[in-house]
Amino acid sequence: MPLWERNGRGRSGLKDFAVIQENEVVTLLLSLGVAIFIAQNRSRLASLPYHRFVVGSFLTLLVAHILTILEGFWYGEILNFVEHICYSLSVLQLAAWTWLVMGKGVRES
Amino acid sequence: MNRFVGAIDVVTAFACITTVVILARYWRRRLQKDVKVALGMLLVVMVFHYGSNVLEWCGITDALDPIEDYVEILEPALWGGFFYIFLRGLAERRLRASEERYRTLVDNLPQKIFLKDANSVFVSCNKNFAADLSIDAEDISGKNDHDYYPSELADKYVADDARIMACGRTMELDEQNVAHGQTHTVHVVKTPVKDRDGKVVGILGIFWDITDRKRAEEERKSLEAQVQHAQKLESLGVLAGGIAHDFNNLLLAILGNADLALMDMAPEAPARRNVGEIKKASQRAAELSSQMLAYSGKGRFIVEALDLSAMVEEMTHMLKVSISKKAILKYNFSKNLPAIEADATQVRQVIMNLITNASEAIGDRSGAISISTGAMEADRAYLQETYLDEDLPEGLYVCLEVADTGCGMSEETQAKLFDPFFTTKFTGRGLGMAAVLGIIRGHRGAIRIRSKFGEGTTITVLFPAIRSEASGPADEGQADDGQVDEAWKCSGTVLLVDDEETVLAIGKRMLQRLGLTVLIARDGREGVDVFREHQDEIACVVLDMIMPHMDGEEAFGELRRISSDVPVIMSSGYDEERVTRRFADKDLAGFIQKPYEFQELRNAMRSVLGD
Repeated sequence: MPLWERNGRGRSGLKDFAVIQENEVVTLLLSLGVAIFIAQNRSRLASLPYHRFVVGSFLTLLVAHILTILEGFWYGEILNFVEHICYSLSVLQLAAWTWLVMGKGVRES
Repeated sequence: MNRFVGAIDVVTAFACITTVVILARYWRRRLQKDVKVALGMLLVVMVFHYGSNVLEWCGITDALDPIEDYVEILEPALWGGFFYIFLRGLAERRLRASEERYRTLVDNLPQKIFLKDANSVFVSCNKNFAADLSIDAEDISGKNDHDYYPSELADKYVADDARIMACGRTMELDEQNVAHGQTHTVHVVKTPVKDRDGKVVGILGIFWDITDRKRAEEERKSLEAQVQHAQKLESLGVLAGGIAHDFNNLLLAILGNADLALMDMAPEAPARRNVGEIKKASQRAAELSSQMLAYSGKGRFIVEALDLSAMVEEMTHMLKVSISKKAILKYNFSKNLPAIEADATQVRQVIMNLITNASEAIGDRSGAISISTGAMEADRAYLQETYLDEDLPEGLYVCLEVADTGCGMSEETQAKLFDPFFTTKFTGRGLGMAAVLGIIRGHRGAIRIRSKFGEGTTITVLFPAIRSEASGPADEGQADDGQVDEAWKCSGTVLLVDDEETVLAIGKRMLQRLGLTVLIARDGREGVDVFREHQDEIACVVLDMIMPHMDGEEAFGELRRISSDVPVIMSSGYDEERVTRRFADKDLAGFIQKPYEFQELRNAMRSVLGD
């Protein structure tokens, strides 16, 4: 059975946890690429106001993408739950950053 | 568990929408626009992603599922785009800030700065440079020196650039520059701009105005030159005065002996003519000595208040015959001039020398010499332009101006004009202008020269004005009528005091010839001793002014202490005025100027001892 064989989805919209999907692998690779880019430019990104929120948002998303892959192999349901929590945390951090930077009118440095 | 996941997705979707609302609500706030756009796109994808999850969880639709898989891929890509755009914006802002700092630095420097490419075409410049050219700094790009400077200057600048680019070294130089249509002197530093391979790709230039500094330097140099010149003149004056003093003593011996010899000789004696020639030659030598004294500034003899205009007017006939026949004399006399305190003979000598020089400058060509007199308030600036500005006071001066249309003088000639023995004439002695300078110095005056080679010369002589009434020039005939009154003789004892053996010898013989008994002393101290010893028999003392051990003034004081009424005749090679001023309240019986002849000595003795 190929590694990225597509599986059907249940009513909940969640995947049937058996194997990983190709779009998930591509997404993870892209995220890792962006993570490397961030690592390379971390000092410059530090000048982004409240940069911990926005970088944290992305890294949380990266964790979610990793969990997406892992859930195909182990503890599918739990990891899927954690994955969705990560998505949520990521968006909440981004929302907080947007508010802090724009809503409070903080200047970019 | 799935129920919780769905609830979390709802929260996530809600958070996404809230973020979109915040972004939209505060869109105008100061995040960079393309960052905001990237963030917006990211949020749209997120809304789609989590929105479709919620819809699916709610069982509304799962039709978006296939698209969602691909949209998910966009998410990290948009995150990457977001970070990239932010960093790019940051880099641009930093670059702009850096440029701004550089621009602020360069534009606020007082120096002018420019950058040219390898073809000497301007690339950039700072505001000061652009302001000099009356352009905006942005407009200079693509222009060259010929667009802004006169072609001669532009050619020079381009040639300098080429030389620097060829040798690859920094060059510093002072040169002319035009700013706002006016020429300035600037100090330029041009540096070759090299690329990473070391190849010269342009010129970086920086320059600043040094016109004022140069002017100050020139003024300082000029002042130093004046001081040096004054010191040189002073030294030469001292030297000339010393030589003239000794020379006078020697001439006194020659003239005196010649006089006595002529008196002793029979009218038909063959040697009489030779002795006469000796006397004439000595008299001419005495004139030279007089000029040397004049140059030393110690030759003022008879000082009186004079009307300069009247004096020149009286000389017009003499001046006319003294100049070239092709030269025309023009006069411009000011009436009611303030008087000057001067020696008429010496002022005449100044006028004659100036007129003679003017005539010789005109030479065989036709030309004009104009003589003007006037009065002026000379300020410090004017006096600084003159020779002999030895702290002369500002104030009212009577001026004599002699202008000619002759050949003028080069700067080199002007620099040496007053040097003794400097002459441009084949037969000149080079003492004329030196004597003029000495006379003017002796009168606390000043002289100003304006001359250009080939365009004539104007010489202005300033004498300090005095308030007293001026008199006409003294009648020279009164001083020396040329008649030898050999009949006058007297008797008595005279003390002759002089440090010069020759003077003592001839003076003694002359006085003896007058029927007097002569006692001699070789300095002031000895003179006082001799006088103390013979005071009852001494009828008169002839006292030299400058002597070792005790000078004439001190000896005079001692003599007065011993006898308050003994007549003393002072003898000196220096000017009478100085001597008589020093003895103004001391009842000096007379003054006799060295080198004196027999007749002058006789007149002096006669005036003291009477008939």
